[in-house]
This record gives sequence, structure tokens and C-alpha cells, in this order.
Amino acid sequence: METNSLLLILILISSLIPGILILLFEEEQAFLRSFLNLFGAFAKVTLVGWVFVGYQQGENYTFIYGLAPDLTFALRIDQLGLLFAALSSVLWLVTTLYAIGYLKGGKHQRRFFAFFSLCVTASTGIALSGNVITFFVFYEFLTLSTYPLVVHRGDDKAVEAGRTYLWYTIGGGTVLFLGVVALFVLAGPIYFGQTEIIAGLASEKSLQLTVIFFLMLSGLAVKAAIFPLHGWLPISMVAPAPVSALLHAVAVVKAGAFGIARLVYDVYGISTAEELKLLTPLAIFAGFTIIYGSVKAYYQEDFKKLLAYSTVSQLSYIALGVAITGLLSTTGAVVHLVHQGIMKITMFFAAGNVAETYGYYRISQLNGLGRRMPLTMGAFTIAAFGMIGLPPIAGFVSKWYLGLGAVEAGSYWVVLVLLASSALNAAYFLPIVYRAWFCEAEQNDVHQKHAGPFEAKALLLIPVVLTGMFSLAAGLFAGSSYSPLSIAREIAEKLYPYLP
Amino acid sequence: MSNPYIVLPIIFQLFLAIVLMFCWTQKNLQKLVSTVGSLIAVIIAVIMFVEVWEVGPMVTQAGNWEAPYGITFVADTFSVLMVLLTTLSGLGVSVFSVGAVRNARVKFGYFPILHFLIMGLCGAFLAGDIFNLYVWFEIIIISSFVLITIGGEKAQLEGSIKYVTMNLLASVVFLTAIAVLYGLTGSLNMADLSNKVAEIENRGLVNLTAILFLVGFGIKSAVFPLYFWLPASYHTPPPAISAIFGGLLTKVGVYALLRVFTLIFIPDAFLITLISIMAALTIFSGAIGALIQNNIRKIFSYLIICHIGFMLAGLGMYTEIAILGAVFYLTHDIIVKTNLFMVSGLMFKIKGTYSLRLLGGFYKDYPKLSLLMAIPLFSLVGIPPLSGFWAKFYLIQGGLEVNNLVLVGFIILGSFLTLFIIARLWSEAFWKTGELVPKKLKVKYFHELKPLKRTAIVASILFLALISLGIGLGAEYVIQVAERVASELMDPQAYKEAVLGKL
Repeated sequence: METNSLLLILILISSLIPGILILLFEEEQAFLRSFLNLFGAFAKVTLVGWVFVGYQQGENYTFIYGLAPDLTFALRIDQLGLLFAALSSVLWLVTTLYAIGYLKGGKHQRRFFAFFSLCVTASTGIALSGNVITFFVFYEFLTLSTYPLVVHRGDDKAVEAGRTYLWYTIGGGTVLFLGVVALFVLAGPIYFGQTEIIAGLASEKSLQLTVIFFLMLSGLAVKAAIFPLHGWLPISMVAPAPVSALLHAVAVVKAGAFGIARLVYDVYGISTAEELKLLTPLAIFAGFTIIYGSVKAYYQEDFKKLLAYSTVSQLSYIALGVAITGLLSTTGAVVHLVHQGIMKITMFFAAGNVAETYGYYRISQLNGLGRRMPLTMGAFTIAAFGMIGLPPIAGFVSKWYLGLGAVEAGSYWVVLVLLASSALNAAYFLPIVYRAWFCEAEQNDVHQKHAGPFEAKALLLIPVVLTGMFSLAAGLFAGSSYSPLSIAREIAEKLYPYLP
Repeated sequence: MSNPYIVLPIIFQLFLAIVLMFCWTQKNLQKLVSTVGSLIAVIIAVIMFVEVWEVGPMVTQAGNWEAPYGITFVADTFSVLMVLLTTLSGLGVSVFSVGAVRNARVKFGYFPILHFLIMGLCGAFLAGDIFNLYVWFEIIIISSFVLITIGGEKAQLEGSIKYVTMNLLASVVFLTAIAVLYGLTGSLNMADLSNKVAEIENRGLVNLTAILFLVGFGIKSAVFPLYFWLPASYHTPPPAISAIFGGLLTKVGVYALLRVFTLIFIPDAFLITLISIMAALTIFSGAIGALIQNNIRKIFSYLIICHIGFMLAGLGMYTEIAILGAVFYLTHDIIVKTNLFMVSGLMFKIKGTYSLRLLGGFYKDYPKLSLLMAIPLFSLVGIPPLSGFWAKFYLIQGGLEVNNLVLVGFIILGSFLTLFIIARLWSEAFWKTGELVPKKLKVKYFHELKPLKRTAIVASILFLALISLGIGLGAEYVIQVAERVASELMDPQAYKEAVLGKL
């Protein structure tokens, strides 16, 4: 096997092997477990970085294994996949640190970390997959490896949430499977980027292609939490904070959003999708979800639930950006994939810190917290401002491009949706920021669980500060040549070769 | 090509059964002979498979009476594949029995009867003559009747009455069908029938006979609406016995359906519709049945029905791709279902109950065993890249090719519900905290068993789990085999030439 294909396999097994090994360890071997996990996470980041550099220098990374005639297991690097792989591997590293701190002394850690690693394997697998079948394989694998994490607490509420999660995701997976097979029957094996295959069939088989598109889209929309398939996301917030952080702000939901981008950009191709008028319904659903999620978030009292509904809303920015064609909105969609991830994970980390340190779960309890937890709430505030879209934070960049793209495409209603959503974001995030920094805490209310030199456990604090800084840096240095924005721009430019 | 050695799998099992009868009182010797013998049977089957794969269908005419007058045995790819799978799951069950079958049952001749049953199965797969097929079916029924009642618990006797009544009814229908067919054509040899049935002008009568066969085999393979006996009886015998029943007995019916409806009766539009409807309803009723059950063995019994529907669906679509899918599914299902019933046996040994409500906490107590048990469970679901996935892929591809969207919809529904059922089972039995059920009189818990017995139980489950992993990961090779089987079934020219000589 060539080195380059071997690298792709190594990226996958750098989390797969720790996952399997951890299951075989004893519960008490905490040090070994943490060591393996961090080692795997570092290895993954390094490997992805290596491949990233290699790809920029024009190396070609492909791994193809024939499972059956015409059915191949294919891993391949392109920029979109690389971006997603980089996002998941970096955030996995950060979240692993966080989870080690968060779960210290808790039960069933072996199970937790094992499935955590497996699920990162699945999401990098999704990033690296080179064709529809491989994508589907990892997509299903993701469902199964996240289920144990959702029910981790093991109480009735968690099991109930797990059941809801399974109904949604298995249903979505089944519909997606139908679409995948139907596409295979119609068009044969399709590698990502071979849009000419569908383009060639577009005039004859437009009805079938439309049906297949919507089958696959609805399968993906479950994970991407697009209305009306978003019901599982708020419910599965019963999971521990690191799980909500990584999975329900990054890995699972992003797998759906990433899948939608792949479907439109690399399977159907933008011009074919437009020709078949597939994108308007997607735009409408996404636009509605943005408003709906924000309105629901506004009425939430529970901190994590508020964040969950905010995720529902923010994710649809990506879908909306995909649905409006044009260089600028594509850039916005791709860059939001990264930006939303780092901002939202910061917020979940912050919520976890607050809950872990003071036992606060409700918005009304956050009064005066800024003075007691300046770093945590500082990072949260940066992320919240970013979500609202204030410059120079990451969220501003993506909203700016989405807005410009909408104007460019002449879809003025989208601009209205974006404006309304920003106003709503401000309406539900600003009160939290206000409470944290400007309200007086009620003194008798303080039960600090944690005692130490810092405002929270160091392992909980470092990740939130790091991701908070990422959110700021991604906006501040958006113009530099390796920022998410520049890469998103390159991806978009490749998709619109006919533009100057 | 003529080769008298193709009856060896049958003769060898007979030989084993007789040897076992001679060591009637030597329980440990019986276990040893059965295990070693099953291993040799697998080797014989592998050699035969390789031989047939390389030179094509092989035939032997019993007593040198030329076909179509004598009794013919035919080993084409489909037959040897089935014989191989039978001996593989036979080996699994035999090793499992060493650990799981109580001495009281061994004393009444459990092992000899088990090998009689496997002999009957091998015979049915190798029969080239429809009446001979009937005879093997009878041997299967008789030995399975002994197995289902052995030990004589009240529930077993109740289950066996339902089992035997329905299966004897199936035999009567089958025999009637053979009689009508003989009256029409004057022949019993399947290859010869293939030619003669095609020449009959009275198509109505041919269709009627075909429906008789469909009913007869339909009862055997538990398709809608003839499946009620299965969930009423399969949960009663000890797990080792329900393993071989669940894995293989219904599959003989499916084998016979696939064989008869590709070789003798080429289904017309009416039959295709009939089979499709039956398949869809079988999938549906199996899945719904499994959804509402609480006893894990009943859940698995209903899942057998559901997945029989998948294979029948392959026949109902009637294209090469769909038959390929059905054969792949058959391959995967035999191994996985056998293993699942053994898993249920292990769960019972550990917790002393089959009730999903009472089961729980496996993962906490036995994390490694739980992961092992997860392999057959999730192979059944067909999570890619485990074995069930590829089979479903081809079934759906076949369905879309002939535009049979209803059937595709039912397959999707069936696999969705299967996944849901297994996920629920997994979370209830493995995740939830469970307590030890009060101990019953005779039952020994898993941790009280001797190490040898424990090893035997785990080794057998591991063995079949590895095979099902192999089917999934080595799908490339299994698909080649299934492809060959499907093309031989859809174009039986080579089969006929092997039996009747070059025309």
C-alpha cells in the first residue's frame, strides 16, 4: 500500500484502535485510558495536519477497496472533506480534555470514552469518504456509536431520549439507504465530484432524480435537524455536557449538514440541482427552521435546551447557504460549517462548566456569574456575540457572506430571514450576557462545588478558553491564507469554474 | 459430471448418528464424537464446494438407473453452498450443545438425533428428484419432532403438537402436489420436470400445482399466512435445538421454493404477484409480531418470519440481482439466526430468564461477552459493513430494477423495524440494570458451569460470529458465489445437462 493511502487509514484508526482497546481495559485503569485517548487525539490532529500540508502541495490521497463488483469502499481527500476532518479532529482533542475533567470519578467511563472514540472515527470517516456508499456506511456507524452516549446516564429520562433519538436517526438512515440504492440503480457507482454522471441523466430521468434527491435529503435532514425532523436534538440534551458539546453541536449535526453539502455540490452538482429546481424547497425549509429554532430558543428556560434550539437554527444557515447558489453564499455555507462548530462548542463547554461548578441549569440562575467565572463567561460572551453576528467574531464572517450571497442571487427574502434571525439571536443571547455581567448575584444562592485556584477545574477551563479564542481568531484572521474562510473560498471557486 | 462422492455429506452424517448410538451411555464420548464428526463434515463440505465451484454441477444416479428413472442426487453451487452452511452451523450447534444441553437430554439420544436431522437437511439440499426431496423432508420432520419433545417439559409438548400438526399438513399438501405433477408429466426428476412442465398446454393446471407447492413449502418456511406454528413452538425446546431449528429448518423451505420456482415452474405474472404479496405481508407480520413480544426467543422467532419475507421478496422480484440478494440473505441468515438462538441460550444461562423486562445489566457484568453477542445482533440488522447490509442492498436494487416499489417499501420497513427491535433489545438487556432472577430448581447459572462447558458455549458463539463477520467483510467473495448461484438458477441449462446428459 502506498504511504498516501496508508495515511488515510491511519487517520481513521487513530481513534478506532483506542476505542476498541479502551473497551477491553478495566474501569479503574483511568490513566492508561486517558493516555490512549489523548495519544489518539494528538495523532489524529497531526495526521490530518500532515495530509493537509501534503494536499496543498498537490499530493493525491486515495484509498479504494473493492467490496463487491461496482461497490467500493473509497476514502479520498478533497478540500471540503479535509476541512470537516480538521474540524472534527481538533475539536475531538479539545473535547477529550474536557471530558476527562468532566467525568472524573463518574461511572461507566470506559464505555463513554470507547464510544466517544468510535463516534469520532465515524465522523472523520464521513469527512474522508470518497463515494456515496462509504459515506452511508459511516453515517450509520455514527448513529450506532452515538446512541450509547445519549443514554449514558442510564436513568429513565436518558433511555427515553435514546429511544426518540433512535426512531429519528434510524428512520433517517433507512430513507437515506433507499435513496442511496436507488441512485446506485439509476446512475451506478458515483464518486464525489463526478457530477457529470447525474448531469448526463438529468434531462431523461428528471422525475426519478428529483425523488432520489428528496429521499436522500430527508435522510440527511434528520441529523442536520431541519424542521420538522429536528425533534430529537433538544430531547437528547440529557446526555453529559461533553457529548452535547461535541456530538450535538459538531459531529452528528454536522454530519447531516456536511452530507447535504456533498449531495448538492459533489453528487448532483450545482447546475443540475438548479436545473431540476431541487434547491428552492431546501431553501424554504432551511429558512423556516432558522426562524423557528430562534423563536423556540427565545422561550427556553433551561440553559442547554436554549443552546439546542439555537443549534437547530444555526445549522440551517449551512443548508440555506447550500440552497442559494453563487460563489458568495457557497463560501458562507462552507465557512459556517466550521464557525458554527467552534462557537457552539464554546457555549456548550461554558454551560457544562456552570453546571459542574455551581450546579446551575437555568438561565435565571446565571445572575452575576461573570464575576465569579470571568474566563468561562468571557468565552461564552465571545461566542454569543459571534452567533449574533457582531464583527470581528467568526459568526459575523459567515453571516456576511451568506447575506452577500443572497443579494447576489436576488433572494431578498433570505436577507430578511438572516436579519430576523440575528435580531432573535440577540434577543435570547443578550439577556444571558447581561445577567452574567451586570446583575447582582443573590448571595445565599451560591453553592460552589469546586474549590481550587481557578474558577473551575483546569481541565474544564482550558478547552473553553481555547475554543473561545478560536472563535475570535477565525474572525480576526479571516483574511489570512489558511483561515477557514480562505479555504471555503477556494472550495467555492472550484465549484464555480465559469466565474471570473 | 458424474461423481458418486457427492452423497458423502449424507452418508457421513448417517455414519455419525450410528456411531453415536453405539456410545449411548458414554455421554462425554458422544460429545467428543459429535464435535469431531461435525468438524470433519465441514471439511468434506468445503472440499465438495471447491470441487463444484471449479468443475460445475455434479450428479450421481443411485444404483446406476439413468435419469429420469432413477433417484438422482445433484450438487450444483446452490446445493453445496447450502450443505456448507448446514455443516458450519451444525458444528456451531454441536459445540454449543456440549456446554448447554443437560445430561438428561443427552441420555435420551440428543446427539444421534441431531445428526439424523443434519443428514436430512443435507439430503434435501442434494436431492435431484422431487419425491426424494419429500422423503428428506419427512426425515427432517421426524428427527425434529424427537428433538423438540426430548426432555418432555410441558411447554415443549404443547409446542411440538402445533409444530408437527402444521408440518404434517405441509407434507400432505406437498405429496398431493407431487402426485398431481406426476399425473401431468409422468416424471419426478426435477431436471426432466423442468422440460416437461414447459410443454404442458393446460397452464391452469400447472399454476394450480405450483400453488400447491407454494402452500406446502410456504408452511415449512413460515410465510404469511401460514406462519402461526413457528412462534408457537420455536421458543419451547432448549436453545441448542431452537438454534438449529431457527437457523436451518425454515431455510429448507426457502431453498425448496427457490429451486422449484426457478427450475420447474417459471412463475407467470399471477404467481409473481402472489409471491410478492405473500412476501410483503410476511415481512410486515413478522416485524410487528417481534415488536410486541417480550420473550427474547419469541422476538427472534418473529424475526425469522420477517426475514423469510426478505428472501421470498427476492423470489417475487424474479431478476438475477434479486435472486442474488435472496441467496446472499439466505447465507447470512442461516449463520446469524443459528447464532442468535445460541446467544439467547447464553443470556438465559446468565440471568435465568428470557423476559426482556427482567433481563438487564449484561454489559456491566460481562462486557466482553456483550460485545461478542453484539456481533450477531447487529449483523442481523445489516449495519454496514456487517453481513445483512449487502444482502439488503441487492434486494432493493433488484426491486428498483423491476419497479416493484411496494416490495422495496416493505423491505425498508422490515429492516427499519428490525433495527429498532434489536436496538431496544440491546438497550434493555445489556444497558439497563437488572437483577438476578430467583433461581429455578434445575437450572445452573453460567458462572456455576464447569470451565469446559463455559468455553464450549462461548467458543461456538464466537465461531459463528466470526463467520458472519467474514461474510460481511469478505462480501466480495460471497457475492461472487451468490452471483454464480443466481445465474445457475435463472438459467438452469447446466443443471439439466448435468442430470440428463447433453441434449
